[in-house]
Amino acid sequence: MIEIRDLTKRFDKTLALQGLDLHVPRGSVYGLVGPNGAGKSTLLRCLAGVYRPDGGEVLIDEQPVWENPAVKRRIAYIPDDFYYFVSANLRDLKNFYQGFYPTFDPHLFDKLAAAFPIDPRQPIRHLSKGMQKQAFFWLALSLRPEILLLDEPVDGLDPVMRRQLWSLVMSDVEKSGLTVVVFSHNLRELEDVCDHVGVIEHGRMLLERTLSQLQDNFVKLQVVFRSEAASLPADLPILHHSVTGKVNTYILRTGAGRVSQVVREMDPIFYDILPLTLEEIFIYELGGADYAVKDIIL
Amino acid sequence: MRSKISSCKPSLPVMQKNLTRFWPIWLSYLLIWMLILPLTLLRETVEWLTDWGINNTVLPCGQSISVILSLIYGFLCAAAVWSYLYNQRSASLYHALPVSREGLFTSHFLSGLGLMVLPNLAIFLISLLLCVGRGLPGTVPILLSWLGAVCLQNLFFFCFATLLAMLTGNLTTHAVVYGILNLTAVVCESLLRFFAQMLTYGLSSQEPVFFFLSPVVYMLREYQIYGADSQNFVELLKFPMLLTYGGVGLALAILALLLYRKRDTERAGDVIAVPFLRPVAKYCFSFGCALVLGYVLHLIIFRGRESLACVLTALLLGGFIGYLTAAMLLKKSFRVFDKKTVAGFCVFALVVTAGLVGMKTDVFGAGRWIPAANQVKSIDVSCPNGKLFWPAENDDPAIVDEILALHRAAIASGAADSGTTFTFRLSYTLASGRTVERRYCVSADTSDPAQPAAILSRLLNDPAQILNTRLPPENAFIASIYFDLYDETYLASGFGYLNTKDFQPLLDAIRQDILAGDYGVWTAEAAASAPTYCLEIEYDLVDDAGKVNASKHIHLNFFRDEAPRTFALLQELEYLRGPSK
Repeated sequence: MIEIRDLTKRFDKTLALQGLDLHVPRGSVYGLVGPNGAGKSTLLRCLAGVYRPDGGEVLIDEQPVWENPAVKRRIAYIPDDFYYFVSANLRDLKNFYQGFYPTFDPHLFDKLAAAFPIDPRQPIRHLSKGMQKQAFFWLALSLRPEILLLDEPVDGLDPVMRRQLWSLVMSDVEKSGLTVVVFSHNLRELEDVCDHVGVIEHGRMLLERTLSQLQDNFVKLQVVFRSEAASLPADLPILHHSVTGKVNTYILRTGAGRVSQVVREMDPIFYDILPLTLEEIFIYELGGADYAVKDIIL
Repeated sequence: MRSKISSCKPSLPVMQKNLTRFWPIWLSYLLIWMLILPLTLLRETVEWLTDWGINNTVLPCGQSISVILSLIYGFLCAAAVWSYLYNQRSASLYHALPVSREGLFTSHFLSGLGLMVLPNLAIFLISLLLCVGRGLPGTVPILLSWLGAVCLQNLFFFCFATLLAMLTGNLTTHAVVYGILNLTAVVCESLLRFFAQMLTYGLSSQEPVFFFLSPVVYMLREYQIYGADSQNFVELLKFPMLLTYGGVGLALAILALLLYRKRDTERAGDVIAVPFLRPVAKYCFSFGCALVLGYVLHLIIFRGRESLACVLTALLLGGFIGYLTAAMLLKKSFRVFDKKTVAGFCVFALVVTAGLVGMKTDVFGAGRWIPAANQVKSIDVSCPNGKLFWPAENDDPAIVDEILALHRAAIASGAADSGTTFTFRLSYTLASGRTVERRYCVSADTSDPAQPAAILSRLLNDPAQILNTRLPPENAFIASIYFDLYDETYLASGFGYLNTKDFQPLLDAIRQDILAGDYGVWTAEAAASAPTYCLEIEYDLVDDAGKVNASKHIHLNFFRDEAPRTFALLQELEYLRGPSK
C-alpha cells in the first residue's frame, strides 16, 4: 500500500534521508524505530505530503502523495508538535477538518465523546498536552482515514488513556483495514501493537521485517560451558557477548534452531535460548551500526 | 488528471477560517474608513448638501489617505493570511491538508484581499445610502470612483506584500523588507545621484526617474497635484496609474504563486525562504547599506570632502557593516568570519570600487555628454546657488546653439576652485520627453569671451530675453503677485499680495526698468550678492476659448539700486514702508 523508493531529503547541507526504502502492506501496523536524528519525523512528513522529496518516490497505491489531494484525503496525520488556531476549540477544529475530508464521520465524532474526557467547547490552548493529544486523536479517528500516521502518539498520555487509544486504533485496523505507520521511542508499546517494524538510522532503512521475522532472527543465549576457555564458534553471528560469573550471555543474529544445534554439540553444563524484546533488538542492531550504549566513566 | 484551473479552486474552509480568524484586521479597517468617509459625509451633507461639497470630501479619501491605509493594511492582511508559512507547525498543518498548493494559495489570497475589499464595499454602500438618502444621487460617480481606486490600491499593496511573504521566512523580515522595498528605488537612486554628483563634474542630483519603483512614494507624489474643481474622477484619482499598479500587482501575485508552489515547508523561520535568492539578498542588502550608511558616515566623518578616497572609504565601511549583518542574518549566527565571507566581501568591495572609479573617470561619458541641437526641446538656464535665480527658457534655435556653446565651455573649463566662482544649472528637456540636468561651478571671469561666465552674460543680458523671462506673456491672466522686501540699509520692509488693480502698473514699471537697462542685467559678480526684494508672479496661460492651459509663475529677484521705477511704485502704492531711497 505504502511504497517509498530511494527517498532523499536534504535540509541545506544536512542529508536527512538518503535513499530510503519502505514498504507498508495494507492493514498493517508499521512501527518505525530509530535513534534521535535518524530522520523518522522527516520520513513521516514526507509520507504526509508536508515535505517535498528531493529525490525518490513516496507512493500510496502507486499514486504520489506530494501535491495529490485525492491521496492526502485518505491520510490522517498526528504530528508530535501539532498546531491549532489560538482561540479554537475542538468544535472549531471539527468544522475546519470536516470541510476538507469527505469521509469525516460526525456520528463517530459524537460517539467518541464517550472515550475522551474533553469538553469540545473548551479552547484547545487551555487543555494539557496529553488532553490536546487526545483531542487530535479524536479528530483523526473521526476522519475515518485509510492511513494513520502517528509521531510519538502516546507520549504524555497516562497508561489508561494509552491503552484506550491503542484499543480504538486497533479496532479500526481490525474493522476497516486501517493502515498505521507509527513512530515511537516506546518500543515496549510498539511490540504490543506493531506487526511490521522498520529500523531507520542516518536517514537509511537499516532493516525492515515483520515483527515475528525480526524476533525469530535474533536470540539471546545464556550458557555455562564445562571449560572456562570454551566459546562459541567464530562463524556464528555474535552481536554481543558478556560474562557474569560462569554464565556467558550471547546475543546472536540467527535462528534459535541453529544456535541450539551448535550449543548442544558443545555439551554445556547448562544453556537457555530466549527471544529478544524489540528494545534489545533495537539496541544490539544499532550497536552494530556504531550506535551502542557507551560506557562513559565520569 | 487534475486541470490547472481545478487545482486553483479555492478552499472554502480556509477562506472562512481566515475571514473569521482575522476579524480584528477587517473590523479596524472598517472602523477607520467609517470615521473617514461615512461619518464625514454625514456631517458634510448637513453642512453643505451639494454634490460639489461631497466630491471634495470623497476625493482625498481615494487619494493619499487610501494609499497610506492600503500600504498598512495591505501588509497586515498579507502578514495575517500567510503567517502560517512562518511557523513550522502551522505550515505542516496546512500542507498536510488535502488541498493543492494552488488551491491553498488562491484561498489565502482571496481571503486576504477580502479582508480589505469587503469593508470597502460596506463603506461604499453605507456612503451611497447616506448620499442618496439625503437627495444627492449625483455623488454616485465619485463614490464608485473611490471604491475602484481604493480596491486597486489594496490589490497592489496586498499583492506586493504577498510576494514578499513568499520570499521571506518570518514576520520580522517580511515587515522590514516590505518597508524597505517601498522606498528602495527612490532612496538608492537619490543617493547614487548624490555620490555621482560628487565624483563626476557636471552631474546634478536631479529628481529620481525611477520613482515608480517606489510605489508608495510615487502614488503620494502623483496625488499632490490636486484639482478639486474638475469632475474628471478618472483623472483625479489617477486611474491609469492605479490600473497599471493593479496589473503589476496581479503579475506579482502570479509570481508569488509560482514561488509558493516551489516553497519548502521547512523554510519557515528562515530569513530568506528561497535558497537561490539568499546571495542576491545578501549583496543587495550590502549595496543598500553601502549607500545609506555610506551617506551617513560621509556626513559624519568626511563632511564637505568630496574626494574619491573619502567617498570610497565611507561606502566600503557602510557596505562592510551591511555585508556582515546580511551574512549573520542568513546564517543565523555571529560566526560568519570565514574565507567564504571574506572572499565575498572582497568581490563586493571590488565592484563598489570599480563603480566609484568609473564615476570619477566618467567612464560612461555622462559628464561630457552634450545634446545635439535637434535633440533639444527646451532649456532652462539658471543660477541656483541661492544668490541669483535667473530662468531662461526658450526654443529659439540660435539661443539653443549659444547655450550648447556655454555647456561646452563649462566642460572645457573644468571645475573652478579658486577666485570668484559661481554655479549655474542647465536643464534640458529633450525631444524624447526626458529631462537632463547639469550643474557647473565656473569662474566669474568674463575677460575671455569663450569663458562660461562671458557666454552666460551674453545670453542672459539680451533685452528681448530679459523681457521674455522676467515678464509673463501679453495674453496671460495674472492670478496673483506676491512681494517680499527687507533691507536693513534703507530700513524698508513689507510683504504680501498686491491688489488686482495694481498688477498692470507694476508690470509696466518692471518693463520700463528693463527697457531702460535698470533691471535684469546679469553679471557674474552679482551672483555673489544677496537680493534685496523679490516678486512672485502667478499667472495662467489661457487659450482663445478662454480655457486655462497651464498655470505658471515667475520669481524675480531685485538687487540694491536696481529697478528704481518698480521700487518707487511699490513705495507709492504703500506696499513698502520705510524711508525712500
